[in-house]
Amino acid sequence: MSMLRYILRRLIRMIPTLIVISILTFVIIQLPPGDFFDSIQAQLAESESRAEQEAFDTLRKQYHLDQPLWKQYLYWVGGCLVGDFGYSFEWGRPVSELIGERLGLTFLMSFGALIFMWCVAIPIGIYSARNRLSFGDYALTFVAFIGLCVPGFLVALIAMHISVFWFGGSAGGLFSHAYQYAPWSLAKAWDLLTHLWVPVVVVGAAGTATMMRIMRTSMLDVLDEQYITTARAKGLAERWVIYKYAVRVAINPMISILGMQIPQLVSGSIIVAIVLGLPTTGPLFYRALETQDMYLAGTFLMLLAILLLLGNLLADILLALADPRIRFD
Amino acid sequence: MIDDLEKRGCSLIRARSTAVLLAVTALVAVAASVARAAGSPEPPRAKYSEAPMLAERVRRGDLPPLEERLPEEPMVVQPVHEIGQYGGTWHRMMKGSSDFHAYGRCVYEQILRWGVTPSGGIEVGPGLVHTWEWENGDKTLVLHLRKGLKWSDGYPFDADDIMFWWERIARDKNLHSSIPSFWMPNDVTMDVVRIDNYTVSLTFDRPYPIAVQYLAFKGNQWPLVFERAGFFAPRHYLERFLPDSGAHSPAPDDSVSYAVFEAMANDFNPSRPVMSAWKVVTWDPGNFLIAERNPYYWKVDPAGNQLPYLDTIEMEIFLNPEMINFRAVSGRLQMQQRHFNWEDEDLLREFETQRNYRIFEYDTASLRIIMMNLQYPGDAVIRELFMEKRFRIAMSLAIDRELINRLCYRGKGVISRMRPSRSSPDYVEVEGLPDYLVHDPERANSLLDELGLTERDADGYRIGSDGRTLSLIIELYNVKGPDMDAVEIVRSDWEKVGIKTSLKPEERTLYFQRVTQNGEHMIGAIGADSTFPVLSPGRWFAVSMWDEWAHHWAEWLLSGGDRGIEPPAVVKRLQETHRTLSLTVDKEKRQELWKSVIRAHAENMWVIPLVAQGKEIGVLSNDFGNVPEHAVASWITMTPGYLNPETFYLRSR
Repeated sequence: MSMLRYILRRLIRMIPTLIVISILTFVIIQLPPGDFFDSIQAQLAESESRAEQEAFDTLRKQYHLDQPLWKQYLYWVGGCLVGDFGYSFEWGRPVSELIGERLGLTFLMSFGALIFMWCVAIPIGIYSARNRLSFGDYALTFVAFIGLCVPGFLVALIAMHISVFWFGGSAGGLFSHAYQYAPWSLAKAWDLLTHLWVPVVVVGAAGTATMMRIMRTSMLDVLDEQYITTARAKGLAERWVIYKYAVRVAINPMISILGMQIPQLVSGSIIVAIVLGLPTTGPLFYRALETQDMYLAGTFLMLLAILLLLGNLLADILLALADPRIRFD
Repeated sequence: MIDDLEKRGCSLIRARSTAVLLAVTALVAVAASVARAAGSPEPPRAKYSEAPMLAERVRRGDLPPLEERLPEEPMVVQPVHEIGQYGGTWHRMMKGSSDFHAYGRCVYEQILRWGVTPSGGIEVGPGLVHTWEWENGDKTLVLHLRKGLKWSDGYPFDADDIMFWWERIARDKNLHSSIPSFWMPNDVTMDVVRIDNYTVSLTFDRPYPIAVQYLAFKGNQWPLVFERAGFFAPRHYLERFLPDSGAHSPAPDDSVSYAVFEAMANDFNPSRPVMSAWKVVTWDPGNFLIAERNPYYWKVDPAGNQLPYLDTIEMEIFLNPEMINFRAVSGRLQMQQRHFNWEDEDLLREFETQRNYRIFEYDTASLRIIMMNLQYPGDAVIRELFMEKRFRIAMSLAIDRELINRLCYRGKGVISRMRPSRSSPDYVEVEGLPDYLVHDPERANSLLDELGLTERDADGYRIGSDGRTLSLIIELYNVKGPDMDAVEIVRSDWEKVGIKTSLKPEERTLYFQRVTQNGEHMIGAIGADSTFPVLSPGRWFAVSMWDEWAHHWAEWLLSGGDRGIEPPAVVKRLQETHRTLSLTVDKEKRQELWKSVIRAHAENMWVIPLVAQGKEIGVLSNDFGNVPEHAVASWITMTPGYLNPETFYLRSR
């Protein structure tokens, strides 16, 4: 019961936070000079074509861009409350439709990466802690640090390079060419799975190194604890000592950073998604920021903020479940 | 009625085969007599044929037979190489929806069309309008539409679709705050009159021959996404979305229904009827666009096959510029020149044979130029120098253009003054012009000394008349790759003659605001179109506030003297010449006018030209047919639009 009350309290506390975030995002998006139509006009000029200056005035009026900032904000927020996140100027579609389509794939990829990270980082972290300063520890630590310092987009570029130049495959994307434009089917879903692992590994790689180091340190701390020594003294099997007693406690920091990792995965994968040409939310968001397609960019930023808040809540709940010592008040 | 282009094609074939004809005359005579003997009259006109995917739909009964879909006289398009085969998909790539030209140029279907003359030049030819004539002393243009044209939904296309655009779209203040300037030459709006179902006349207040060029340039279906230009729109489909049209109850909020109207009229709306060879069937924003053949397309090849040959166009949307190279080297793009640069050449060449494509080169006429803001408001000393002709000449002489051409453009560029390029209809030779394009740093130095810039600071830079080191800033936006390297060379060349110079890349919206809204930039570097300078007058005539060298002078002209700065007489003459040019028919008179423009630019060096990029590259699959080897890549001809993409086809291996 106390748990439910706690969750409710946390949810209510999110509301003022979200309001502040929404104002901040809206103002930040509007900070650069000009608006969407200025940016489109500049882009047209770049490709030598030119639109008549006046042509855009009518569009500005249609989309309320001639109104003061606070009015524009109210239009947007008012809409958000009833599920209308505004209109993307560039794509000529409601924002909800645009983001909705891509959200599924984004989550699939992010959770794939999360699972990949945990599956790789935890066993390696445990191994390096148990065999501290051994050759295996050094080797894995070395690999982990390389993974940590090589940016994801570079790994993505290298992966594409190898795929195209060595194997003559197609580059990037989440689907084979045959399924790229096809409607959803079982075959397409399978095709997705066969392509998904590349971005999952690329996005997960950087995080894995951090996670692994955290797990290793935390594990080392725990292994020095007296209760572990006691357990060993009582003659428990080593496997039992490690997995039942040590890991269960050592994993706490991993759960705490989970909350931050979820939005990090979504936003951190933006550049990788652009490089790999993935149909996720990232490239769309980047483009929206570039062209000041403010409703699209704003909605995406809000989504990230909500993910962060929910992620933290989720982490706290999981932590409570994993560690009975934690109380809610 | 034979179309001009067809006639030209015929005469060309005739000329070539004269010898053959002589040789086989006897044979023909025999054949003819045999035919007469057999009693057969004129052989029946070849039946038209259609693509298998359409024949299938006709069989199923969801499409009327081909004869009912084609107009009375379908336009016959001569493929550049051979009769093609039906089927296949054209894969292309586009960069977001502001790159709408990537698709728009594949479905270039104008009132009149640019066509290629036998000599390789570009000239206005028939399109939706098959004949036209000037009346009333070249003031009235009468357009005759083809009879029996149909929209992609089978509804007839006629003069009402042009009138709908003119009366309900162009003149509606909610859609266009003003009528496009080229339809109101001399500030007098043209008069559009519907004469009958298939005839429309445009009347101007004075001879306006350039109108036919505008019909080939801006005569598309409205609105071409963000360009918001056009000349016709499907009345039967769009009228109901327009507020207070009577056909549809007006929505409570006017702005809402105008927004709906815009959405329905948009080029990417799959349910919007079109007149082009393909129509959009799927628009997945941010992902892809798929267009399928238009069953009512009104063109056939000489064998009577309804065009287009290709079934579909697939446009993949990309953001990562590397992606298009990856796609190209994997051999997936059959024909695309958009978004490729000379920088990519080595990479593309590496896989040419392996992946069965080749690189083609089209002429382009983008002249890289550097412009000092001659009305620079930031510093009086610098402004006075910029206004000094000798200073501009000195800065031009300081530049080593040969080096730029060799290092940045692989020697493929052309060192050119401000003049229409060879592929331009306005190309003209001018003799005896001063040559300030040579590399002569000594003369540059002595000119600068003459101007009193003899004092140097501790670093060897020249000091201005106010005692401070002269420091120039070249502002750049989206200048990258070879163009960036070129500006870098200019910087070092200028420093060599003692002028401190720095480069300042700017975010494009910022640059755009600085130049077009405030004119507060110091020096700008950009490209100018030299194929159709009258249609696209940017940087040529000081008539556009986009002109980095003349923002305030153009503002003076455009505001009728209320704002901006009054230009000197020689610039006023230039501005006047632009107006005269757009009103002049006579070719000789035009050439005279052009000579004066070229001379004025050459003598005054308002604009410092670097190198004209001679060629643009693209990739072409060896399986893709009917793509000409030589063509002009330009915004105005909508390349590859004017090359008849409906005749492109995929050879089955």
